[in-house]
Amino acid sequence: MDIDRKLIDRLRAVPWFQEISLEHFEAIAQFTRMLDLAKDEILFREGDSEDYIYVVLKGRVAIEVNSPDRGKLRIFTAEALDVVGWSAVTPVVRQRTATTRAVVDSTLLSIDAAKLQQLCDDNCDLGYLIMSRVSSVIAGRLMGARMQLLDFYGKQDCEE
Amino acid sequence: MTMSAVEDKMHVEENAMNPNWAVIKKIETETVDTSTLWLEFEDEEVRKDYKYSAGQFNMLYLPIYGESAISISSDPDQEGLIGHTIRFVGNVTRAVSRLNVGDRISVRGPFGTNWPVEESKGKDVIIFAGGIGLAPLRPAIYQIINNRKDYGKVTIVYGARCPSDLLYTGEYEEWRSHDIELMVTVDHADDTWDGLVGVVPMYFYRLRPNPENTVLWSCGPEIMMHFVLYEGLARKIPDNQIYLSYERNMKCGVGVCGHCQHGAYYICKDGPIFTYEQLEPYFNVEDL
Amino acid sequence: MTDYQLSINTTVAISKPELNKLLDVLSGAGYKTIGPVAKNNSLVYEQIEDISDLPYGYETDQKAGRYRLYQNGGSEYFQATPGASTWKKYLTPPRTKLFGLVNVDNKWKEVPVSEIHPKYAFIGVRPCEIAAIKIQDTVLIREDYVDTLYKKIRDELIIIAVNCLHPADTCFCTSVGGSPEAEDGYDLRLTELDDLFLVNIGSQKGIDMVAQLEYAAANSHSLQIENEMMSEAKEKIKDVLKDYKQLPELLMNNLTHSAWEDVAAKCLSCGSCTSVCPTCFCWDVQDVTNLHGTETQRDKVWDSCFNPTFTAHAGGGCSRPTTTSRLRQRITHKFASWVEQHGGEGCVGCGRCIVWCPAKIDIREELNILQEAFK
Ligand code: SF4
Ligand code: SF4
Repeated sequence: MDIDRKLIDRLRAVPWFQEISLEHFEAIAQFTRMLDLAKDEILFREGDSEDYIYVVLKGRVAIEVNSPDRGKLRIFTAEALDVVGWSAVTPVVRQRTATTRAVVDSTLLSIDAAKLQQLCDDNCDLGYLIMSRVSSVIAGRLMGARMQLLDFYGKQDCEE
Repeated sequence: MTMSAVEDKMHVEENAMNPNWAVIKKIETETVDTSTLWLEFEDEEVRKDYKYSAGQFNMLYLPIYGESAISISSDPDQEGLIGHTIRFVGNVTRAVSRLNVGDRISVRGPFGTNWPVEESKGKDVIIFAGGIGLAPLRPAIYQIINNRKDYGKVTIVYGARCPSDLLYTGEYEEWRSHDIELMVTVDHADDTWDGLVGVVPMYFYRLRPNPENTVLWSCGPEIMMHFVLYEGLARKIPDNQIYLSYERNMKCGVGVCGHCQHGAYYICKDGPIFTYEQLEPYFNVEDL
Repeated sequence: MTDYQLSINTTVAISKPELNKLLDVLSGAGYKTIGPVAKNNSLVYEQIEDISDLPYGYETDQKAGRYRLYQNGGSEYFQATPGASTWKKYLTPPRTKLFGLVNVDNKWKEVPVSEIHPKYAFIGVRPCEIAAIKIQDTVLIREDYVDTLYKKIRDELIIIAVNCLHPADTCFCTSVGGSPEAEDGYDLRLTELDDLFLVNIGSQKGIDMVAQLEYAAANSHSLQIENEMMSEAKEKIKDVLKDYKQLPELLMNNLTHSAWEDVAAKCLSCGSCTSVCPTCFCWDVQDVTNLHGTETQRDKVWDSCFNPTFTAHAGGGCSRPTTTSRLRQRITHKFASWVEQHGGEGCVGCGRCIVWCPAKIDIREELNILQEAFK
């Protein structure tokens, strides 16, 4: 299938997917779609069910949490090759905990999370690879969150 | 004891600490608590002889209030006014914030080590700056731009607490036009912000440095630099190609008042810019 | 006056009262003569005009946290070990004016510094104190920086050293490469025997001074006594820091060791040790301004790494908030980083920090504890 080839090429260009075999790419391509978002279009909202994991190919996508008293708080801006919605492939599937919105016109890959999980379950090698990639995304985000907590700029710089 | 002994007086001058007057020629407001003061020495000789390198600092003295170490933020290759981007957080700098064009201020310097602008020619340069930490890096950025073709890939990741705290926003386009990749991120975004969110070290993952041929320069809150360092080391950038700029309480600028000691270093003369190789023995020693 | 060829390293003998003549010679030449004076139950360095100002017949009893000065009915001028006073108060005074400014028509104008500093002659400088002055020389007169005030005073300084025949229990000069016998760095060096001073000449100035005195060649008998007494003195000083040359590496490699907490447990962070230390050189700058804000000056004042403001940041906080971190700074500076910075240790073994520590902290014991812990 033509479209599959294109998709597979897209997938293979994602560093996150490096080292995955062609055979698995073909499998993943079965439940992967390309998605265009116009500026300000919402990808998913806080409270939605977690069905897909996304990879940004082009553009910029904001992850925002709504706080009743402080309004929309942006916690991360995903750019090309960033993964969005990683929690969809963790064992505990919640509702979406944040809203995701395109900041500019953007293109994403959307991967069916349940099917990806199933594929991982059936195939431990692939599962290990995917899960270790997911964990490094999580580790990166956690590190970022932690650093944000440190409030670098809160303390004044030295002087005098 | 005869009186003659006491009358044998000595007149003592301590020129290293003496004031050196400059006039404020221009003030640029950068953020709500930060401005850039453009200074010119009153003395023509001093004006002519004054040379500095990217990353060095001056001691600015305001009578009554005292003296404060402020890094130079202008282009060392350019003659003329000397820029100091100052955040008004202490007694001295708050007093400086009340000065106007035409007022005088004393400038001692330049002091300290510099960014290895010359030595880094032929290499990729990665710059991580946070908050006011962009100020001492700006001279280096200017010098890179002055000789852009001498450098490989140049990437700047700059972050501040919120969009209104960002420095030199009017220059970003110019920098980018010289084939510099500039990522700007804020910790706290507001509705108007459509750029990156998060602390600067977090964005290291987007760079794919060729470690052997990369120099990493960082200036900002110490804790931020440490995370930048960890990311740099994780990507195998060699210890002696990572440069961090430290700050400490300083009084003299010449390594003799003792205040800025950091292990065996005097930050004012052995620093403020160190390689990680130099800092490594003292790294993560609490309260050193 | 004896007809005798005086040269550097000649030793002559003078009667004790002849020291008065030396004081006269010095003040006649315009020197302010400073020496030890018994005062307020301690020994302080002050102007002396006559040998009767010296602590004749005094001795001291000192140990950690203790200094007692008492009359023993003896006949020595230099038996008592120095107190908290150091020569550095003359060489780098506790407060000096860097410059002054007056505001004339909204413009700050410099007023010339009018502080005056006489030429000094120090009488009774101990070998460890000479070592301390030499250390301060390396810090304050460098290729890249010269403390002009210090250099002026230093260039004109006359040092009349005195050998230590009665080292105290707190003395440990021999552990840090020193000796109770001054080897160089003086114009004249006295050894006080029962009825005379042996005077060793260390410089041309020394020759000129002796030439104006009533002196005799030192006879072999007195030289032999000097020798014996010096050996005895050396014997008396406990060699406590066997491996002090290893200290830089040992201390710097163990900056995060928990033993630092142990040695700092008693410390009050009072800074007494650094202010009595003859090599400590740190200083702060203070702005002093009149009420109307029309006159201001900047003063250079002694500071200590134990002061909370020493590492203070403008926006709040400081780099060394804990007593442990401050004590570690002092100890590593004296015995480790100083070596890297200035080419030798910053300690001369005078023992002042031991004697004047209100918490009775003994640096020798501390170093031994640390050495043991770091092994
Ligand atoms: S840092 Fe402390 S120990 Fe070192 S010279 Fe200064 S006051 Fe003395
Ligand atoms: S060691 Fe002793 S003298 Fe020094 S600061 Fe601590 S308590 Fe004070």
